[in-house]
This record gives sequence, structure tokens and C-alpha cells, in this order.
Amino acid sequence: MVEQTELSYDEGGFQQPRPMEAAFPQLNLTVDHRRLFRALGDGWLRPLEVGAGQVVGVRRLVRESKHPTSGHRIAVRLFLDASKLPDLDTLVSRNGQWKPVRLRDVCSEDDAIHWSSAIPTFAICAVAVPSIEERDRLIGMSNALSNVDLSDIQVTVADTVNEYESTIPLCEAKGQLMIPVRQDSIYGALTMALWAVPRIDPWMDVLQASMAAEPSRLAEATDAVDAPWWRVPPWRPQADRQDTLADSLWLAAMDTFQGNCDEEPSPPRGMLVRIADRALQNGGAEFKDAIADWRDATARIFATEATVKLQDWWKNPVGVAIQLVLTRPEPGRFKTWFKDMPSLPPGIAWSAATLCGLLNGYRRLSTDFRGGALQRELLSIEALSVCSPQAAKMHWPKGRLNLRWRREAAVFVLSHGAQDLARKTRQARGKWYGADFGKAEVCRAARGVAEKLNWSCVKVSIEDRKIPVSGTGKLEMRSGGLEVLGKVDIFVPERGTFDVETFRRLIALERANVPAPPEAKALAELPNDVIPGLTYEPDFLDEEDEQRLVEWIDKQAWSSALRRRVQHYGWRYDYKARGVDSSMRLGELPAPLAELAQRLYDRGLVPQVPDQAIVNEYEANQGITPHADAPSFADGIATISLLESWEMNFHPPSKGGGGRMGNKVPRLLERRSVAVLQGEARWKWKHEIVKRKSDPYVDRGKRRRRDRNRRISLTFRKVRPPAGQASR
Amino acid sequence: MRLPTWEDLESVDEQLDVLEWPLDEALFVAGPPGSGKTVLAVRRAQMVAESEPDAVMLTYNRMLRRLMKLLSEQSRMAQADETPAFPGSIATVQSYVWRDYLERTRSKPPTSPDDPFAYIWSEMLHILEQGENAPNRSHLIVDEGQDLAEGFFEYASHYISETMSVFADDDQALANQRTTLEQIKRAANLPDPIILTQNHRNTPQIASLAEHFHAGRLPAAAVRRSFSGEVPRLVEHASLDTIAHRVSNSMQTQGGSIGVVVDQNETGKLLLHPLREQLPQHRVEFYTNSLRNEDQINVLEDGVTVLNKESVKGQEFDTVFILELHRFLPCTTDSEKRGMYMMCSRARDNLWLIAGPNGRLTKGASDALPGPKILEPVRW
Repeated sequence: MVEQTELSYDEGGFQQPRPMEAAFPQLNLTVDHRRLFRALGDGWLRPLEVGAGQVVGVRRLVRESKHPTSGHRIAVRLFLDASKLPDLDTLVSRNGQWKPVRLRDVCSEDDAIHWSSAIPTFAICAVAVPSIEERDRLIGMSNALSNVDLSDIQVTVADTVNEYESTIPLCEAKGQLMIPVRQDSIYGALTMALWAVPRIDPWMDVLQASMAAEPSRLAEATDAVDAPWWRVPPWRPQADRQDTLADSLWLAAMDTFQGNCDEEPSPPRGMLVRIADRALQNGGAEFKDAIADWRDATARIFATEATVKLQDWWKNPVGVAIQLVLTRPEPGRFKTWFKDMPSLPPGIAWSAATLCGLLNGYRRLSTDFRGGALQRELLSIEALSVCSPQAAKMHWPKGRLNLRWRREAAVFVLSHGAQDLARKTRQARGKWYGADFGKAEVCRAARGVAEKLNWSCVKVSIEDRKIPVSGTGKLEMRSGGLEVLGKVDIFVPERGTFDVETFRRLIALERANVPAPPEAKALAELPNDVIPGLTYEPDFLDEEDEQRLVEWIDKQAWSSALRRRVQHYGWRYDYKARGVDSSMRLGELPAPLAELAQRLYDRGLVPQVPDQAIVNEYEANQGITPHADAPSFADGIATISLLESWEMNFHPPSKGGGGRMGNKVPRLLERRSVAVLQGEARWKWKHEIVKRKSDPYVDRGKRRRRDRNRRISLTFRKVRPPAGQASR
Repeated sequence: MRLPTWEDLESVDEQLDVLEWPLDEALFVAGPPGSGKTVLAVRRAQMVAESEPDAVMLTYNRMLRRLMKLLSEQSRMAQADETPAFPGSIATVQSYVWRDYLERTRSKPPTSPDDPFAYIWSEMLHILEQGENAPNRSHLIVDEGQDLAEGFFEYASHYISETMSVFADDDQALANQRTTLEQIKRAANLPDPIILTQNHRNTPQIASLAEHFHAGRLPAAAVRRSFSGEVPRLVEHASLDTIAHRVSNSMQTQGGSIGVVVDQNETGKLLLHPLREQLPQHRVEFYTNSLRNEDQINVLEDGVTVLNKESVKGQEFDTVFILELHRFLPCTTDSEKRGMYMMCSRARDNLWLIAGPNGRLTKGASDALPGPKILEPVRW
């Protein structure tokens, strides 16, 4: 917890600091489910009337004044954690009268309070509904919404939800704090900025500096990544700087997108015209032509005449970012750029994602983008504070966002004080920053990358000397470099050195598919290729066996209960309950499978004759997440692979017994082979098939990949008699 | 097809009425294309099946079944592997009834001598009445009810489930067999339908073009809010190469799901090669009823699906290119108009009408099209 001894604010000015109470009474308010969904979508339960506050129960049960009782509305009682609210002046209903007190002075004997503002949804700690059917319906509806997630709020059933106290006197008090319209846009931009921040050290610096109001550090950080437009992040608007093409487009896009989420959305072609007009009005005369060219090129993209071009991205990075937003404005679609264009320069990707958040606002972002509870709480307060000077002075229990980043083994961690608010896996580009360039193999790999991508990373220092040049081309000094036109040969005296700083800078900036640096060797020295308890036999079946089996399988009925198609024999398996019970006995295995079960036993591959078989069909890009088979199956599980050879990863048990998995060991399960898991491999290890489109294989010493089509696996297991049922 | 935000739903009261309907009560929903019936039906099925896992969802054709399955897989509940994507079961009416009837009577359902797919419902009902047959499912959800025979609904209410949620359209039927809302209501013993009147799928720009071709009951103005609402565009002539190039550009810029509708399957096949060549990273597929390859096609995954007029029914794409406009226009009958309406209303954000390859609009067809504010002419 953060120390709560800072100055706190109220209408009259600042008061002396005082310690917070240890425990707060829980508050309650019953609303209908539509109000709850709307609030969860946007982060705030707003008062029913603009400018009003809302009465919230303490000891008494309180229902919202306009609570509808008709139709199929669900009454939802919200339980609120007052310790997450700022210590504002409130009115309290004590002995039938309203009296002014601070929120922290409310005691559990009070009937109700009048909260003079919107209630942030992060204060909702649990909800209750009147019946099981309504609970199922509430959760079912929330599952059908992209921007509402009930999964971290406990939903209970209580038949008292329809009760409420009618004797609390009316309260006519006005609200103190409104949520400005712009708040949603800013909240969206902040959320997307955190979601999409390039996971590379210098960009993490820009993120951190952009969240703090320190212009000089921000200027330094943005210069390091050649992204000067980020000196004005969308959440820190400043006096217009329009020195460059990038600045004028960036500000024009911010003006156009901000607050757009409350208006009737205009089509991309309309937004394009508005951005270009604004940029032309504000911008210097020197880049009027560049803006007009950009506008026309973008219009051609909308006409399907052209596509977004990255070749000369550095000429107009902000222009490209805006094109990415306008062509895929909805966040779910926008996200697909990362898949379609893996070589996007990080600065463009991040700028575009942030603008996309600004355009859509938090309300339209699906929960995938929103991050964890702490992040949502802090960003919501931050967005409000940026837009409302009144809110900026309020004392929020967790304080204002104080974002810091640090590097851990494989992740970047974003934190606020002592609390972590997000963890982001480091990707290929980011790994080069932690890589040890003192190691020969890292340097070699870096040189290889630079050479392949045609990056100028070799430095030759020359002092006071004439350099011979030949060829038909021309050399020109331009800002930042020597420009070669045509072909020129330059004769340098010394061997160059590979400049790591330049290389890293390009890693952070350039358009490229950058491979990861070589991993530290230490792991490979461990005997990590042994999977205790795994038996593998290639060619367990011959080709004729395989063909007959597949023909037989394809004649049987498939179940489509899972994402992949399956057939169950012997016993039905309940994926939800992860087990079988006596009611799930389907009968003997059919002949073709019974014969295989016997063969597995006869060859000593399994300790008992299996009595259950599951046929799994995997199509390209299907897989199965890491799992150990359910304990209702005995030791000795055999998997026969048909039609194709796919790779299975085996994950050793974690050292500390925690949830994290150790280093995986991949194994190719060849077509017609059998793999049997016993002992540790069966009970302690997890296995998975990665969802992907192709698998590696070795052909005459060369590593190649083969596209996946269709693999069928047959898993044979022996069901253990369920405890307590065997004796029946 | 992405999940809606609360704001999307809240703007359409009638959709909320459906979503909020108690899970253990019978429900009847009717509405024109674009009013969001199919999505509502899937949501209903998911919510019902979460509390009653023996619920079953039946659909009219196989492509639809695939769509339903995919939709249900998107649900957050199915994110963790090893949990069922959809806790109930999904089947086509044809195959479900076949099995159900076979199990009950140990004989195949009687079919019409002219059409082996047309069950003789009266005879089946008569035979089942003789034995002790009762419903065995807690809830049955049916989509595209208008395409199913009246007899099916009697069968369903007597032998599948007493509680049914039926979603129907009385405006879109392409098949001759057509059942009215009144017939469905009576045969399935349903409450009065909730009538959806608002267009939830198309942007207002696309809706106004679709309305131009409409002959019959209309959904009200489109209510969908989108940043992508462009005026549909008309290309009076284009070669196969140009079309492939433009479709591929659209895939690379706007992304999302693209439907390319053709009249001639041959045209679809010819397009496939250049599209695949230009879009090596993306899914490009061709669907026809005769290929029966719907299980291999993931229409929800971003990419290009080429299909004909019959197969596009019930589908939805972010962008639709209707090719061979010269073969679809001019519309001389109500049925042809309905077809154009149906095809146009498949598009969510972007719609292109293209004459060609190998043809041009006649003067008459051109003159009958709406003006540039509704359909913007462009040259390729």
C-alpha cells in the first residue's frame, strides 16, 4: 500500500494530512443490468441525471431512483469498495437527516451517503442477482459483449436483491465532479499506448517519459528514436508545435480523432479530408505540397488503386501511421496490421495504435486491450486527471500514475510504485538490447542481420586525410549523412568496427523482420533432451494399417464439441469436468481399435490393455495447449499419429512447483509412430501441440518446414475405476 | 464477425429484448436480413446451453452450420482449450431429424419420390404418434425457420423440445418451401414474435443502396455506427486481372473478411489463381454447394471467400465485391430484386458493384441504378 499522508483536496482548499481509516464500510447500490454493462464498458457508473450525484447505501439497501421493474431487466446489487474512492465531501444520511462529512468519516452505522460524482467501476468488488437463471443470463450476456468482462467480479445469488430501503430521504444535492467527454478518448489512447508499446528499451523510455510531465526527458527519449512528434503525446496536449510535416499531421489527427467517439462517426474518406485540411491550415507553407501528396496517395488507397507503402516510410512516418488507422479504424481490425505487416517500423506501429485508441475511445476497446485491474484503475484516473483540473487535484488512494519500466528475464515489467501493472514478453527486437555483445556469437549474428538488411553499421574513423574515390556516381553531404548518387567506390585505410549503438538504434527504428539474437548457451549444455518416461516407436503401424484405420475413422461420427473434431470410444470423456464416471461407459472398443489396444499391451508398451480411445483430428493451425492428462486415467498413455508428422512440445515440471513452465523439449511425432507416456512424463510433464501452419523437419541434413494439413491422433488410455464407485 | 460493444447493442432496443429474454422460456424472433438474427440465435444458443448443456441448435444448410460453429468458438468461454467450444450440440435439421427418427422408429424417414431430401412430415408424425415418443431435449434453438417445413416445427415441438427459440425471416427465402410466421408460431407453439425492424449489420450507406432493390417489407434505417461507412461504388467495366488486383489491394489495406460474389462458378474459379498469387499470406477460398467444402472454410478468419449467389445467403463480410453485375441487372422480377437486396446486404462496411469480367451493363440496367449519392460511379 502507498502511504496515505499527502495533502488532500476539498472545495475549500487544502487540509492538513491525516491518516486513512483502516477499514471502510462496504457500500451498496442496486441498479439494473443495463446500467452495469454500460458502466463496465466505459469505466464509470455515471449519475442518472447529468450534474447530479447518486445515493449509495451503507447500512441500508439502496436502489437507484429510476430502477425499472418491468421487462426482463435483472436487478444487480453492486458492492463497492470505498477505500478505492477519493476522500471527497459527501452527505451522509444519519438518523433520517443529510449531513456533510468526508467520505473517510462515514461509519458503518450510517444509512446511506450521497456520492457527488460518477462511481469508477474499479470500486465494484462483487455483485449479487436474485436468481440462478438471472446469474446465468447476466454472465451469458456479458460473454456476448466485447467490452464487458465480468470474470474478475464475483457474481452471487441472493434473494434479498429485490429488497430496498424506502425511508431514506430524498437528496437534492448537486454533483461535484463531471467526467469530461474527452476523458474516454484519452483513456482509449493511454490504454492502446500501453498495449502496443514497442517492447524495446528506448521505446519503453518514451512511454515512461510521456506519462510523466517532464518535457526535457521526453524530448531526450523521443530524439533517441527519431520520433519528435511524440514530444506531444495525445494525453499531454500542448501549444501547437508545427515545425515539421510529422508535427502538423500528428496534431491534425489528434484534433480530428479526439472526442470523435461521441459524435456520429464519419467515414475514413471524410476523416482524411479533415486531417489534411487541418494540417494545411496549421502547417508551414514549406510542406503544403507534401500534405497534399499524402492526402492524394491516401485517397488512392481507399479507391483500392494502391496499398499502404512502407518503402519510404521515414519520409512521412506519421502519415503512414494515420493511413493504418484510417484503413482499419476499428480496434479489432486494426490489430491485424501486426500480423499482416510484421516488418512495421516500431514507431509507426505504436503511433498508429495510440491514434486508434484516441479515435475509438476506451468504450469501444474490447477487453483484450484493456489490461489488468490495476492498469485499468490507474489509467482511468490518469485520463480523468488530464482532462479535468478539478480531478487532477483530488486525492486518489493509489495516487496518480507513476509509471516505471524494468527488464526481467524474458519480460518488460511496467510498474507503479511497488506494484506491477503489466508484464510484456520481450520479442526479437527487444532481445537485442539485453544481448551480450561481448560474446562472439552475438556479434556475429548481429553482423549477419545488418548485412542481410543492408544496414550501415560498420564504422570507419578517419582523421585529416584524403580518401580516394572512383566511379561514375556523385557524393553529396546531406544533413545526417553522405549521399551517394549512382555508383562510387571509396577506398578506406582501416578495417571498420561494427558499431553496436548504431545497430541497436536501427533495431529500434527500422522496417524489418528482425530475428532474435542467439540465446545463451548454458541451457543447451544441460541434458535437456531426456524426457523420463517417454517411449517412442517409429513405424508402429505400416502403411496399409494406417490407410485402413483412416478409412474406418472417417466413416464414424465425429463430435464437434471441441474446436477440433473428436471421437470417443470405450468411455466418454467430460472435458469440462476433466474426468469420467461410471455413467460415461460407452462399451467395448470397436474391433479396429481393440486390436491396436491389444497390440500396445502385447508389445509391452503399456502396462494394461487400454479401454478408452479418443480420436482427435487436427487441421492446419490447430493444436492443443500444454496439459497433463486427467488423473482419471491410469499410467501408460499411448498416442498413435496418422497422416502427418507434427511436432509435440514436452514441458518439464517447474522447479519451484509454481505455474511457470521450464524449457520445452520438442519431439517430432512421425506419421504411423506411437509415443507412450509413463511415470514422470505422464504425471509431471505437460505436452502440447503448438497451433501453427507448418512443422520443421530435416531433409538430407537441411532444416526445412512442411505445411500442415490434417493429422489424426489416436490416444489409448486405461480408465481408473472412480473412487467410491468401484465398490458399488 | 466480432462481438458487439455494449454501445452497439444499446442503440438497438429490440436486440436487447431478445438477448434479455429469460433462458427457460420459449422465444420467437422474426426480422429481415441484416437485423442480426443469426448472431442473436447463436448468442441465445450459447447462453441457453451454458445452463442446459443438452440444448440443441439446428440450422438449415451446411454452410450455416459451419458459421454457427465458428461463432460459438469465439465465445470467451471456449478460450481455454479442452473446454467444449459449445456445450450443446449443433446440427443441420436434415441430419438431426434423420438420426432422431431412425433411433425412435428403427427406420429411415420417408422422403418424397421426387426429392430424397424432402421428408414426408405428415407420415412421420403419424407413425411417431403410434409409439411412446416424447421430447428429449431441454431447449431447441432454430435459425432460418422460414426455410423449414411447417411439419418440422410440429415434429420439433412434439419430439425434440417443448421449449423452443425460433429465429425466422419472412422475406428472404430462396427455396420454394416457405413457411409463414403464423404457421411456425402455431406449429411450434410459440409466443408472439419479437419483430426486429432495424438494420444492425450494414452501415447506413450500404443500407440505402440495398433498399433500392427491395421489393417487400423493409428494415428501418441502419443503426450501425461505424468509422468505415463509405458510399457503395459502381464500376461499369473491369477485366478479370483488374478485379483480382483491386480485391487483393483491398485485402492488403482494409483487411478483414472479403466476399466476392459471382454468378458463374467458372468466373470464381478463374479469379482464384491470381488472387492466391497476389495474396500469399492470406486465406483465399472458393465455396460452392457442390464442393461441399464448408468445413474447410473459415469465413470468419480474415481473407477472401469467393462464392455464388446461392451460397452467400446468410453470410456476412466486411467488404463485398459483387461481380458480373451485367448478369444480375436489370432486375425484372421481384425475386431478382430480392436477390440483389440479399447480396448487397451481406456487406458490413464496403460494397463494390462491378460489371464484368466479360460484360457491360446495358443502358437500361445502368439507368435503373440510383444516383451517385447512393452509388458512386468510379472507373477502374
